[in-house]
Amino acid sequence: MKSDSNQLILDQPDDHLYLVNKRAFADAELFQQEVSQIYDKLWLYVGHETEIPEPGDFVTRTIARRPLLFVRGSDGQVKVYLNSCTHNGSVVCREPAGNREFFPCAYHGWVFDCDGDLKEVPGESAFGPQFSKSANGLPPAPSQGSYQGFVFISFAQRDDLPDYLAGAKEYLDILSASSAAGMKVIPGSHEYGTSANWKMLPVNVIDGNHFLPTHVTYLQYLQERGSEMTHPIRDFHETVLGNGHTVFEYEAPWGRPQGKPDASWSEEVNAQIATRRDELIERLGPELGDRIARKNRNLVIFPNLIINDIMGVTIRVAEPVAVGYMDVTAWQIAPADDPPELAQVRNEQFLTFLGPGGFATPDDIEGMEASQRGFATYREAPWVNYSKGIAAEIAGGLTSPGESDFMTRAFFNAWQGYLGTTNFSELP
Amino acid sequence: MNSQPSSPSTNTPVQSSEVETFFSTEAWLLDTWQLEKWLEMFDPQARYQVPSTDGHHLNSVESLYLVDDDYRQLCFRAKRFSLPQGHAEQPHSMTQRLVTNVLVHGEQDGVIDITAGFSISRSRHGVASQYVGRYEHQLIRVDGELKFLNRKSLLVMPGLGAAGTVSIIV
Repeated sequence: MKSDSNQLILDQPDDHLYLVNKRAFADAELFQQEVSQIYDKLWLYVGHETEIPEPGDFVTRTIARRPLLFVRGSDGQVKVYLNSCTHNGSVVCREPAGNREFFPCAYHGWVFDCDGDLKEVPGESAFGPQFSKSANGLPPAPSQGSYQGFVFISFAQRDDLPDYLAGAKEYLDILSASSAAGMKVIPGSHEYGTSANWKMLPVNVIDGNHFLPTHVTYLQYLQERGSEMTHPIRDFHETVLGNGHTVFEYEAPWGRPQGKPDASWSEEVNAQIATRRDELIERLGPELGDRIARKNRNLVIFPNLIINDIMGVTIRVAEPVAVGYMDVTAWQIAPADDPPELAQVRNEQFLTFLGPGGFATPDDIEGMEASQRGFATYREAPWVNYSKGIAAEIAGGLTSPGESDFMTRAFFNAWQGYLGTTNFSELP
Repeated sequence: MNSQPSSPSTNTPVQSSEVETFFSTEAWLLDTWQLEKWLEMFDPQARYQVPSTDGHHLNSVESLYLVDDDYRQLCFRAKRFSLPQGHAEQPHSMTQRLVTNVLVHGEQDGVIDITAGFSISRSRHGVASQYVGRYEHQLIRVDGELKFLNRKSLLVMPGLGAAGTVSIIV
């Protein structure tokens, strides 16, 4: 094996090798390059339109370390503003969420409305005749776009969100079609830190290899509650969607409140789930209806949006804070019309696997954080091995779930492309 | 229980000292990882709930909680701590709990409403983290002994932050 330990990636298909440098997760200078080439330039997910249904509804978010105000204007349009007063720079809205027609800045009393317009300036005349309130509204994010209710911004000037989303659009369409009543983000969010590099979260989601070793206790939980566990993961497709986006789609043994009954649930609930399945097939046709009802989807939209349509449907955002630390925020998106008994089963299914209190996500976090600690050995032992499945790919054979790092390789190839360098010695 | 507890009742059969002993016993069992004995403090109708840090006032059906266990889920949660592949708590964290400000708010139809403050220090992989919050529990008497009917833990934190998970009981 030829090995230049300054390379970001060692891609040697003839040797059935694809290695990523541990330094990619542990080098603070590279992290700055990631911030400037990825988080400052690409489209970033901010929030879902259903989080702010009424005019004046708002939430504040921190994305790529900027404070943002995500608000529905008086005209019903959803907008993202930089949450920084045009006077003295102070964060204007200091609340996490609510409904307001006006946003007064606490520091010097400038007042903005929910359309971002500047409405009041104490002592306005002292700014002179050339001062204009209309030129001093809250600055919008440089670029904003929305697809199926998912709102994205970019800190660069760009107008290509549909092209950027590429093949991921189909999966946002599928998710949005999952309920005739529409899908909505329900109140309450999981906010937690993970002591690992931000890339570890998307890579965890597209890595089918970790499922059995990491989550064996979850499978034990399913067995003990009485789920039918005879079928393994099956009917799976791993797809590279372009621009670093990937999806892993499969049928799993566990039920889906959207359309797949589970032996551990009551007859009454399973009857409602069977009705949901019938409705999906009626509305969308047998192929798509069955696909939504039966299959799970792990979707990564590069760089910061992760949607797992699995035991529950969770939207997660990775916010890089430092090279070895990210903030994660997670929400549940669900059919807008689930009756309470179905919502209860859906929540049980969600919370027993997902989230910082689940029987699975904490084990993922343990794995990510243990990896991060291990990456400090990058000088002596530089490589992470993502070579699984290359031999089968070259031979043209299909791999089974958990037998390929195909999507992880696609993720890192795209990542390296955005960074614009292949070697640590070329970093600015 | 109500999110706005009424004033503490002075005319209630349960004594603060009994409740304080109940909490101290619970903290001891959790800090010394005696989870099977801890489970005996629950009625089989009980729930263990941790609302999201931004949703203390929301109900568990219409919002996203961190934990919303019925007794069956709770039993598995307790058992998972003893499974070698329950990675998040293998090896177990070291914890020390302080439970204080115990108030008995009253008793209605045999259900006793109690609040308390808590602070939990956790050490794991050489890193210390802290959970701080308020309990809003409902207790009942079964054969003379206090049992949890609802063990609700409100984390008074801006998010889990560096604590990362609620892989321990909070």
